[in-house]
Amino acid sequence: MIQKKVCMVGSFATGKTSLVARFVKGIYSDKYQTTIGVKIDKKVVETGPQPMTLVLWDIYGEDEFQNIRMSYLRGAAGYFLVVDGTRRETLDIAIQLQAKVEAHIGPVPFIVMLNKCDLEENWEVTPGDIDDLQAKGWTVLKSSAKENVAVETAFSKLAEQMSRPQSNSIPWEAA
Amino acid sequence: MDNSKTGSLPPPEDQIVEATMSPPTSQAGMSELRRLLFGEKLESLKPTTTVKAEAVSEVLAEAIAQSHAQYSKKLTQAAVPTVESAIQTSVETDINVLSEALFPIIGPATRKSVAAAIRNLTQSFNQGLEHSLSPQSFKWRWEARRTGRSFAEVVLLRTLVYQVEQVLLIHKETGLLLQQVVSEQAQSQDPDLVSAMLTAIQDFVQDSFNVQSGGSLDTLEVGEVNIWIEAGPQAVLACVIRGNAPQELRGQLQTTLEQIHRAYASPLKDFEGDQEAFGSSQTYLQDCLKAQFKTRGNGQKQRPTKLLIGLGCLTLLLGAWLGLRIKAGQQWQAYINQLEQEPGLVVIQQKRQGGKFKLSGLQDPLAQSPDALLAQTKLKPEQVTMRWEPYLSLDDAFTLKRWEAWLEPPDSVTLKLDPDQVLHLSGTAPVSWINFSQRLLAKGGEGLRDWNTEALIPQEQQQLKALQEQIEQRSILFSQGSTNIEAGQQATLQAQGEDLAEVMAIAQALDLEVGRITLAGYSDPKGDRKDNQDLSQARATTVQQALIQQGIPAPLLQTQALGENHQTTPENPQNRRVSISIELPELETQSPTPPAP
Ligand SMILES: Nc1nc2c(ncn2[C@@H]2O[C@H](COP(=O)(O)OP(=O)(O)OP(=O)(O)O)[C@@H](O)[C@H]2O)c(=O)[nH]1
Ligand SMILES: [Mg+2]
Repeated sequence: MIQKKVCMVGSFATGKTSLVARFVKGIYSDKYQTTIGVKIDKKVVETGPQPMTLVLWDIYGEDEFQNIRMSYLRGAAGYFLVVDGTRRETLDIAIQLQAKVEAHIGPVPFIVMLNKCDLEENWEVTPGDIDDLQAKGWTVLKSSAKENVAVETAFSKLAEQMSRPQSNSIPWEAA
Repeated sequence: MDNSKTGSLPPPEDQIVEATMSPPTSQAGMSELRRLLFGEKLESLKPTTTVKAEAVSEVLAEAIAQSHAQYSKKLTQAAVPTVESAIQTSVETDINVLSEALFPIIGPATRKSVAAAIRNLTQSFNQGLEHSLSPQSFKWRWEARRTGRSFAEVVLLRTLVYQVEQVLLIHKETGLLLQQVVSEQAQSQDPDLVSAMLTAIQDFVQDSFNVQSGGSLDTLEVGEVNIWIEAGPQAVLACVIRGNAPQELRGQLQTTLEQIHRAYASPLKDFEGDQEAFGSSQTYLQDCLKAQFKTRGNGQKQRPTKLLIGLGCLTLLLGAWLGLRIKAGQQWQAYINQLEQEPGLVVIQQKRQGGKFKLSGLQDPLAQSPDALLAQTKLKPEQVTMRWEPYLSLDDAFTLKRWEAWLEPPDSVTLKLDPDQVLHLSGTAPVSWINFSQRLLAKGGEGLRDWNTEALIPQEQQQLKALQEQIEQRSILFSQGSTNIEAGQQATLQAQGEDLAEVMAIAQALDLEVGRITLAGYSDPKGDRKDNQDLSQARATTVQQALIQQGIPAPLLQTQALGENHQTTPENPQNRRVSISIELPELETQSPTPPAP
């Protein structure tokens, strides 16, 4: 069985824990309990050519009191950048985090999750912002842990990207 | 020999003649045959050493690499004598060259092995001491003599009870599980989660305590269960052990880990998440799955008489000695009882070793210091070894203390935790602190079911209220029938201006607007009513001008002429006054921004 380490990264209260809970246990709660340190879960994704076990590292969110420790990302084969669509600043933080993570563990696949799309009428993140992200070649998904939108899709998409050989990590092959 | 020479050199002319004339000997025949076959080409096959060396040097590196790939053992074996004699020569010529090259390796290696040896030694020594006077020790001494082992060794062997329940092989970089073995009797946790969590804990410890490079967490103790962790460059071995394992097991872990690194060097390096390559490492891990149980009553019967006499003497001695120890034991027990009553302290293990007491437990950072409690007993600190691991107590008193430490409330604020785990905040505090505390609480209350800040009063509001009262109580008095203020009233006017300025400043800092400031003029009833009306207006205007001079914005200052109709008591100088009233802005604390609507 192939195993991959996957990290959940983003600002506090963007829904990292909720996305993992929805994906792994199929549950959701409106109650907010901030993650302290790291929480680990796993789930087997069957959609690809061969089943893959994702070991999910749900890391506490970045806030004004503490930054994310990069050492928790060591060895990750992929990660999610989780953004709360209703709070614009979480997108800026996600963009900064992406640069930090890439500097630390190299270019591995990641997906931007614009979460809480059930509240889309209150979003501060605009279609223009999304275009900007896509222009960088990033994979962007609108998701909702609450209403189970795009959660399965996101995890199987990342699994699929991780199972491809990582050509971009070999410098002389980069065009 | 000679043959080889003839093989490569053309024979001289006369030899050829000779060869054709006489029946060819086998040697000469060979030469002839060669000459006929190769003719002049033989010349070019001559081994000119220079040419050959050049040609070989071109392919040497590649040849070695290839031969290593195909026949690694052979090449290595072939090279051994050369390498050995090269090292020997190097040592003979100049010992410094090699010793300098080896220096960086030898230092850490010796340090490590010396440290391990000392640890082993102290452990067996401690055990030996502990049991040197127990009744059983007699039997063990006997056994030691019979088997030629050291007493300490026998004690170690007979007392340790432990079982390795689970062995995990973890990929160091990703924290993913490579392989595991579980002992039959044990119930194991999901090894994937355990591996990742252990790795996260390692990361956390390494980051948080700034350990020097190379150092890492190697033991976790959770009650009965110990987790031993041995980290190599690519992989980590973790053993879940119940009971007290001997230090030798550590050596076993190191050996196994080294073997695995050797056997799986390239799968480890190129690991992409595929566990399959490590299936066969089970056999290595099995070596670590050890157990040792206390053996009871097996072994041959000892000679009873000798044993009994020995035991008798020993008991007498022990009796006297125990008498001395009992007292200390009682004090110790009293101390343990006290610790157990103390909130935030949990005693996990305690034992007596020789004349010493050992204790390990959990301590909330906010709990009473166990050392301070010890100082109140008759026990001597050097008799007692304690090890306290930090933990967070969920005792209400500690939840409250912790929140006090996080919130750092000003003295004027009281925090109360009610039996339903609701935190009540009351008292006065700066608006900035109230906002801060609400934000922090909104992030999720550790140990709290709910919280309530309704009884918090913004300090600034009180300040404004006090200033307002002060301003409104003062009057500025005027001379009879005049718009000149009375002698000595200048200071009051000045004070009014300063207090108003302060009101403005507080309001501005909170981004609020001050409402209207009304200057009401009065006059006494002497003289014409209409003149008095004008006089009261003129007095109010005088004060208005003076306040504008002091920097109060003119648009806020309104005058009001109240004439002679508002007497306090007849002939009271207060009847010729100007008093000030202000409308204060309503102060609201910003409500906490909830993370999600
Ligand atoms: N409406 C809505 N709310 C969500 C959604 N996902 C999460 N939430 C809510 O957002 C809050 C935070 O969710 P968490 O999953 O705990 O956030 P987190 O990113 O793990 O937060 P930290 O662990 O503090 O970094 C909770 O109150 C969730 O109920 C969503 O898709 N829609
Ligand atoms: Mg979380």
